[in-house]
Amino acid sequence: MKKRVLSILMTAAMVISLTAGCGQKADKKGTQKSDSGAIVLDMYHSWSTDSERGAALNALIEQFNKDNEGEIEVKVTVNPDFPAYQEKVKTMISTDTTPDIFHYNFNPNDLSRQESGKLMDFSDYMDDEWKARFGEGDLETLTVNEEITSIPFEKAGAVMYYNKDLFSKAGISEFPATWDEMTEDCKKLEKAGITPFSLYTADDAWYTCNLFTYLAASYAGVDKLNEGGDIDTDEMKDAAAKLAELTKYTTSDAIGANYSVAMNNFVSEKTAMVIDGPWLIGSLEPIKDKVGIAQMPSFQDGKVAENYVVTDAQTPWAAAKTDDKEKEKAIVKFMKFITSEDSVKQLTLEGAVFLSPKLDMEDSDVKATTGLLGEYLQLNSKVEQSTVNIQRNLTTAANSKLPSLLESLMLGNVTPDEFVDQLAAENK
Amino acid sequence: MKKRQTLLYMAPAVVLIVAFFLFPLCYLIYLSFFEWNGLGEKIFIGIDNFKYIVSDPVFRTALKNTIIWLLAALFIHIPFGLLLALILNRKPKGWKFMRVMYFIPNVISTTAVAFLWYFIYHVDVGLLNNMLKAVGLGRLTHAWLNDPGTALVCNIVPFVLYAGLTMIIFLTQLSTIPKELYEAAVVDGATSIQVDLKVYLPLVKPAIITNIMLNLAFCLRTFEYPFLMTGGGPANSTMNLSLYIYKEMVGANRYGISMAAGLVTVLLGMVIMVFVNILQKERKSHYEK
Repeated sequence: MKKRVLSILMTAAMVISLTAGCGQKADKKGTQKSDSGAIVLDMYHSWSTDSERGAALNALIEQFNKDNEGEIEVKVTVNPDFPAYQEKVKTMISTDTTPDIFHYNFNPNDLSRQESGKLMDFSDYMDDEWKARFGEGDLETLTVNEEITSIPFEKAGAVMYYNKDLFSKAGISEFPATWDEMTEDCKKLEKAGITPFSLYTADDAWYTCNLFTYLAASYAGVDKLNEGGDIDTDEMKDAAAKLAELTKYTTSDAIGANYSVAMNNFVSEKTAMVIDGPWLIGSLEPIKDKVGIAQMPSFQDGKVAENYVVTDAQTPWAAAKTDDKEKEKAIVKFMKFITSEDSVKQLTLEGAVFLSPKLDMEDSDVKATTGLLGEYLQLNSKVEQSTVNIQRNLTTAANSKLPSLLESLMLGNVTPDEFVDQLAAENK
Repeated sequence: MKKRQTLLYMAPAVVLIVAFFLFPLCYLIYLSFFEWNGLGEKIFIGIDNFKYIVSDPVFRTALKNTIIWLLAALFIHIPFGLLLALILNRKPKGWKFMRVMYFIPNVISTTAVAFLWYFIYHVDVGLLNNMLKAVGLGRLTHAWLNDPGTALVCNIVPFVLYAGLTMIIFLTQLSTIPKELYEAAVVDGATSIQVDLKVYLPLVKPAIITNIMLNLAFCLRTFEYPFLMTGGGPANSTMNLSLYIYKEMVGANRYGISMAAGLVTVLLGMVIMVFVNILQKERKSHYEK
C-alpha cells in the first residue's frame, strides 16, 4: 500500500514538474518600479558597448538615469547579433513580453510589428517641436494606420570607403567618376595584385546589396527607384548584369563570407574598396590615414544627381503598449531625450552614428570635426538625392532568398534576367 | 492490480510523448495548412504550402541533399565505423588509446566541430590549403566551401570521419561474440578477412540495425554543419531539410511553409524507421528459421 501511494505521489510530482508553466499565460507588461520607486524601463537594443556607437548610447542612457534619479531608470539588455535580435523582438511581441523600448529594422513590406496592436502610439505626444526634430518624410514613412508607433532614429548613408595607398600602387590617381571607369580601375587594381571590392553573401549580404542598389539607382534613377512597385524592370536587369561583372573583382571568400570577414578584408588592406556606414570609421583606426571617402560613380546621364546616396534602413525606436500613463510619459521623456539636439550631436561625434533627428551642421563642434567622420559629415550634408537599400523594401520572403540568388548570380548559375525574375517572383 | 500499476508506471512516458511529441506534431500539421508570419492572423490556405514546396527548387535541393546525407551514413559512415571496430577488436598495440581518440569528437559539441572544419577548409587561412601549399601542391588549393561542387562534400566529411559512436556500438556487439567461434574458424583455416566476413559480420547485424537507426535519425535532423560551415550556400548547394525549415521560419517568416516542410521530414523519418523495422523483423524471422 505504501509503495502504491509513493508511486502515485512520485508520478504526480513528475507530471506537475514537467507541465509547470505550460498553461501560464504571459501577463501584459505592468509597471516595474525600482527600490527607490523609480519607473523601470526595460530597453533592448543591438549596439554592443564595445562599439563606438554602443558606448556613446550607453553614456547617454547613464546620463538620463542620473538626471532622472528616483523617477525613471532605463535598464539595458544588449544583443549584438542583429539578425537574431530582430527575431527575438518579433518573438517577444508575439508572446506579450515586448520590451518597454527597443529598436528594429523598418521594412514597409513587413508591418507585422506595427500592426500587432502591441506597440505604443506616440501620436498624442508628437507636438510640433518634437516633430521638427526629424528628417523630411521620415515620420510620415513610419506612420502606419495613422498611428506613430515608431520614432525615427538611425538612418545612415552607406558610402564608398577606398584605400588611397592601394589605388596609388595601381597607378590610379583619382577615384572613378563613372561605372565604366570603375570597371577599368578594377582591372588596374587586379593587375597590381590588389583585390578591388570587399563583398559578402552570408546573412543579409549587405555589402553586395549596397553595390546593387547604387547600380540600380544609376540605371533607373533615384526618383524611379523611390516610387517602388514591380522590381522586374529592364533597369534592374541592367543593374544585375553590371553587378555580376563587378562581383568578379572581389575576394575568393566573398561567397559565404559574412560582414566581419568582408570588413576585415578591407581593414587588413586585402581589398581596396568597401561600401559601408559611418560605424565603420571606428574600425578603420589602423589605416585611417590611407582611407578616403568617395562620391559614388554614376553613368553621368542625368538620372542621378551628382551627390546621391543609398541609405541603410530606417532603424527606429518603438515601445510596448501600456495602460499606465505614468509609464507612457516616462517612455516619451526618454525618447525626446535620445532624439534631442545634444544627444544627436553626442551620438554623431562620439559614436559615428548618422541619425534621422537633425544635426546642427553650423554647430562649432560639428564644423570642427576632421578625419573620416568630418569627410562623412561633409559628404552627407551635400546629398541631393537619396534612396534606401533595395533589400529594405523587399518582402521578408524575398529578402531571405536574396543572398542565395546573389550567390547564384556571382557563380553564373543564373543570368541577370533570371536573377531579377526570381527575385520579383519571391517579392510578390 | 498489476495492470493498474503498469499503467501508472507508463504514465510519465505517455505524458511526455503526448506533451512533447504528439501535441507539437498535431500543431505542426495544423499550421501547415495556414499562411502565417509568426505575428497576427493565420489564414487557412488548404494545401497551398505543400504545392509551394513541391514546386520550390530550393526544397527539392534540400530533399536531395538530405538523401545524400542518408546515403553517406549508410554506405560510408557505418561501414567505416565497422571497419574501425573490427580493427580495434583485434586489440592491436595502443588499441585503447585509439578507441578513446576516435570517440573524443563525439563528446565535443557539433557546433565546435563545425567551426573547426570551417577553418580547416577556409580558402585563405585554412589548414587544408596551407598544407597543400606546404607540400608543393599549391595548384590543388581551392575555395572548398565557396564552390557548389565541393561544399556539400565538405559538409559531410566531418560526419563521415567521426565514426566513434558507431564504432563503440559495433565494439560492444563484437565483445559479446564467444571467442570459441573465432578460434574454431582459425583452426578450420579461415583467414582474417574470412573470419570478419563469415563469423563477425553476421553476428553484428543487431548493431548494424541500431547504427542505421541512430545515424539516419542524425542525418535527418543535422543542422549545425550546413548552418555554420556554409549557411546552406553557396547558391543553396548545401541546403538540407532542417536548414530549409529553419530558414523558411526564421528568415522568411513563412511558418506555414516551414511546417509543411517539417511534416515532410517527419514522414520521411517514419518511412525510414518502418523500413528499418522491416529489416529487423526479417532478420529475426531468418534466425528463428
